[in-house]
Amino acid sequence: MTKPVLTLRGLTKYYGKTPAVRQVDLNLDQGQIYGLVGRNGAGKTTIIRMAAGQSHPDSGEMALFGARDPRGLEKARRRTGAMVEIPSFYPYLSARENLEYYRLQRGIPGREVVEEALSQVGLADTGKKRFKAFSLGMKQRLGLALALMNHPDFLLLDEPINGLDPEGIVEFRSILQALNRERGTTILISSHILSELSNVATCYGFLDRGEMLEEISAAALHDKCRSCLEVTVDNPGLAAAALERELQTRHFEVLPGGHIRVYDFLDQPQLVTGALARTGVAILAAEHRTANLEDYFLKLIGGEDRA
Amino acid sequence: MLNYIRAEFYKVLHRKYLYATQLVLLLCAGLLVAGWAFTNANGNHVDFATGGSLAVSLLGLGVYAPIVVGDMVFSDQYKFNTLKNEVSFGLPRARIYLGKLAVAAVAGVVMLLLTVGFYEGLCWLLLEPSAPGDAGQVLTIVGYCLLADLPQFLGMMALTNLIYFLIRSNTMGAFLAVGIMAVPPMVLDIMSLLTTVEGGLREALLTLNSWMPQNMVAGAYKVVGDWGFMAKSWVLGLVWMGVCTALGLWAFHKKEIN
Repeated sequence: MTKPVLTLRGLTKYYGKTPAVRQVDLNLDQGQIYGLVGRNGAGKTTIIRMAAGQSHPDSGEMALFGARDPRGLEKARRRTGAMVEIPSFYPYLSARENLEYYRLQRGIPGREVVEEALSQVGLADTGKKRFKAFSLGMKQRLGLALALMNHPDFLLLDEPINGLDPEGIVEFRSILQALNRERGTTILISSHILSELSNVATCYGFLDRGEMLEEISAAALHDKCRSCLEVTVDNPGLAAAALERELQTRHFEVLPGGHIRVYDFLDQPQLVTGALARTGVAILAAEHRTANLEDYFLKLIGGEDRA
Repeated sequence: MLNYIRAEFYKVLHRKYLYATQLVLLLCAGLLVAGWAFTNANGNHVDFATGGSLAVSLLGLGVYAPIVVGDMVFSDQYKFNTLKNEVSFGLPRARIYLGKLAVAAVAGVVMLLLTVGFYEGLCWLLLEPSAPGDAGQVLTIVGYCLLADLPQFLGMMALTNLIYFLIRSNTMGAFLAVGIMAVPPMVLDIMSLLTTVEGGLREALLTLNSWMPQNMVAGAYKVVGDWGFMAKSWVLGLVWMGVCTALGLWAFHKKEIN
């Protein structure tokens, strides 16, 4: 049975009179990689900041590894690693010195953990170069190294691949997948790069305007985003009737703009187009489509015009 | 807490700020003593007893020293957004607050002792020797003043720590700290001058003014050996420390870390 790592119930946070997060429920179990999806200002960072103890919720409950009270939450956070927004370090210290400072502060035994963390993120050879001279990608890597240094059971990552080059993104993904696979590390990750998120996440939470619209597992999402034949016709009503009558299927949906998505007969599209043609429906376009995370998100928040 | 303090010392000792500040203090002390030695060579007569005991009048500047030492330890945490790394690891906010205060206090005291020790040592080396009894008296005066001024310095350290934790800009914080340290004694001074009626309010204003940290520090050398004054100084300093620390802890617990 999986144990809950992070549970939010009715979490609400206002900045002044503006609600940043409203009545958010979130369930994250051990071993999951949870992708937090939402536009700018949807409340992703606010949720992560509250989970990391940087911000206080106005109402609602939060449980981290089962702990709910402030002291218990503080203790539970020692089992986490966090990378929230742009990684921040002392500019006048090198990568090694910065990590050594945090190692001492956190009471992590053994100097070798610093070298391990730097090697893990590819920063072992930065020498005495100071943090202020780092590129954004290097800063992101150092942020990840800090988050990993205490071998956390739970990682909180807010837009962690911003600034990484393509090679860095692949490496980053490999690190997360290895941590999840080998150590069972639970991960909460937000990202604007939905295609990248879909490569690692095992479940998703879709946020919009501070509200959690839906939580869904990757498997269920995959099922919902299944392949289809999208046909554009001049008379969708007639076409829908033709599909039901001629092909005895109801596995289709009619969309605005004369689009019909048919989920059957994917390997025999001629059956669909033939049935429509026999009924006198003009086919304007037909294509094989596979919906992705981005399409699903846009549909969920109400269309591309809102994205 | 010990881990936190170790880490803060690691950071402070890896900054040039510490060494540069200490160097400036030592240079100033050195220049002052060298100046007297130079005038001695040209007919003046400043001996060890005179030069050495003048250190106590320079201790008044120590009230403002926490602004520099606090800045050195707090290290622009809001500017560099580094506090989030500490909070998100679950370090108790009280530990963060008190840890920085403790390190700033220890660093400040060490710098003070180094500077005063260097000054007295140079005076011993470069100035004309005085009578054996006078030298002992100098050390008694300086020792008493250091001990009486220490709680005032620590109180001001607690005040600057509070300000640095509350205000995002260390520069603004420094200005505010100077204002809080310097303005109330001046206001009290002016108010007591304007209050022409003897007794009552005027007495209260004068008493309150004498309790201000600068005035306590400035008054110490006049009452060397007065243990009543020493006790008053420690009580006042500890009150400053207690009130500022309690306020700072309360405010920092509520603060959002960006």
